[in-house]
Amino acid sequence: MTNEPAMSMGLNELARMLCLDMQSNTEVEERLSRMLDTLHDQVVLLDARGVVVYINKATEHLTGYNRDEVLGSTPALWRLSESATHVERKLDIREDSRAPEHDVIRNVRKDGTVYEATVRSVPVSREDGSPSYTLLVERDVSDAAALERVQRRIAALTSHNLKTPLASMRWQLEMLRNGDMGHVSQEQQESLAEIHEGVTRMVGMVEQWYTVTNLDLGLHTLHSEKIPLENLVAEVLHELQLRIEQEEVSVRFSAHPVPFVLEADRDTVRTIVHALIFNAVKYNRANGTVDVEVLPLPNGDEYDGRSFSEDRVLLSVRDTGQGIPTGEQGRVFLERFHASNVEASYAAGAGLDLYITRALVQKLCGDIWFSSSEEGSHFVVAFPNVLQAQHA
Amino acid sequence: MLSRFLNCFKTVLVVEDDPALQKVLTTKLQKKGYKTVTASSGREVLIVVAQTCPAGIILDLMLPGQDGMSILRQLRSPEVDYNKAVVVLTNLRGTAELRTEAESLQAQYFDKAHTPIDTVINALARAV
Repeated sequence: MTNEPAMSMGLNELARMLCLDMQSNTEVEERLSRMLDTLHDQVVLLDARGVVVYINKATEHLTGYNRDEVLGSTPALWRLSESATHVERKLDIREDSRAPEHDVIRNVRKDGTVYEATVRSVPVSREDGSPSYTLLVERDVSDAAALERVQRRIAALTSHNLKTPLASMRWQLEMLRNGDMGHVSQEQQESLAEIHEGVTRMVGMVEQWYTVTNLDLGLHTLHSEKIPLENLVAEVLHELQLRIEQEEVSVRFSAHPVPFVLEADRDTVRTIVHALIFNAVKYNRANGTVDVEVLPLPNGDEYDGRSFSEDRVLLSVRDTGQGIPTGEQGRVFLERFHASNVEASYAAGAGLDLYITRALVQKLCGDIWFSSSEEGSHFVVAFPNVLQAQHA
Repeated sequence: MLSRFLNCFKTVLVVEDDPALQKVLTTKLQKKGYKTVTASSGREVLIVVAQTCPAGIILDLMLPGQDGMSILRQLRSPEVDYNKAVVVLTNLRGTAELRTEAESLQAQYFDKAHTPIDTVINALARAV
């Protein structure tokens, strides 16, 4: 079924609405059509009923349907999924980590082959604001999606395979230290503790490598779930208990009377919480303190001179360490940052903790800031997507 | 002491394809007084469950052939109807969906790299 008058009218009106300064409506249509035919992406124009009134050459090429077969139908013609809006997953192919990811759908060509595509839908309204047309721009991302699958698989398998022997070593060490294999002398305990610490650091480095790789390749995906933040903080503190005792630091955790629930990716939030508390413990003085607090920041209220246009929940981690030298504070969130006043005291890690922490906070559309002096440092993360928040 | 004696009547199935991890888990369980049987693939699991009806299962997610989550689904299916304690272990990252599914199948879920072995064993012991 052809729909030449509708196509002509659609493109013509579209061009007019786009305010192209042309000689005639026919010229508008021809020039716009030639322009859209040069694109590699599918461009499809739907009328107010969702019926196709225009397609460019790339649509014919990618779907295998010619213009006559498509005009008058709907995008369901080349959609694989039952639902036209079914999203297979998100594909991160953009540079700005705060920009929304592309929805990936699966299309099927006329010959039955399937390809993955991203879809952008742009409503085109009349001057009076009433909806008129919808512009669909679809891009074949099969190659990018296949590459992403390979990259994900390699990263996940490598991380898993490196951590498997480390988990075994850690558990064996725990059994030795607990006396499951017989009595252990004090000297042996100290040696085992050093080995245990080394293994724990290696696990941390593998996980940092995995996180940085995913962030750099744009593969870090978020799975939203409801997270009781205080429970997560308590869990991290429990995991760090041995380290806290070794560093001879006192950790105080103040939970708000009404628990907060975040809607966020649990692993991402956990990594953020772990990094901030671990650093506060590691870079502290002997017999120092770490104060961890979870508190609400309702829409419009201020904390540290900052306010937000939505409810947030704050994670505050304050330590009594040596602080970060003023001249170096601008580099805190950069890769491989080590403060000059602590580098000699501790075995240097990869310097990725705060780089990763900030990247992950940004992934969650949150905010992170800090203040630091010779009396210690104070890091704050403001998490969005709070399901429960009470005024103090 | 008494609980260790009582545990002697309980068998735990350890499903783990890594020999070192399998050994450390079975050793720890035996120290706690459990009898242990092992399996390293999905096919073996169903055979062992049918033969021994273990009081609890420790189940790794990354296994050759059939993955641990699909094994768990089979265990909880009406055909197998295994309704006893299952503890799922993994070293995989970014597994929020797996955790949710495991918990919906009445299984406890632990990250091997971040969980002390005592925590894993104690969690199983409480459920057995």
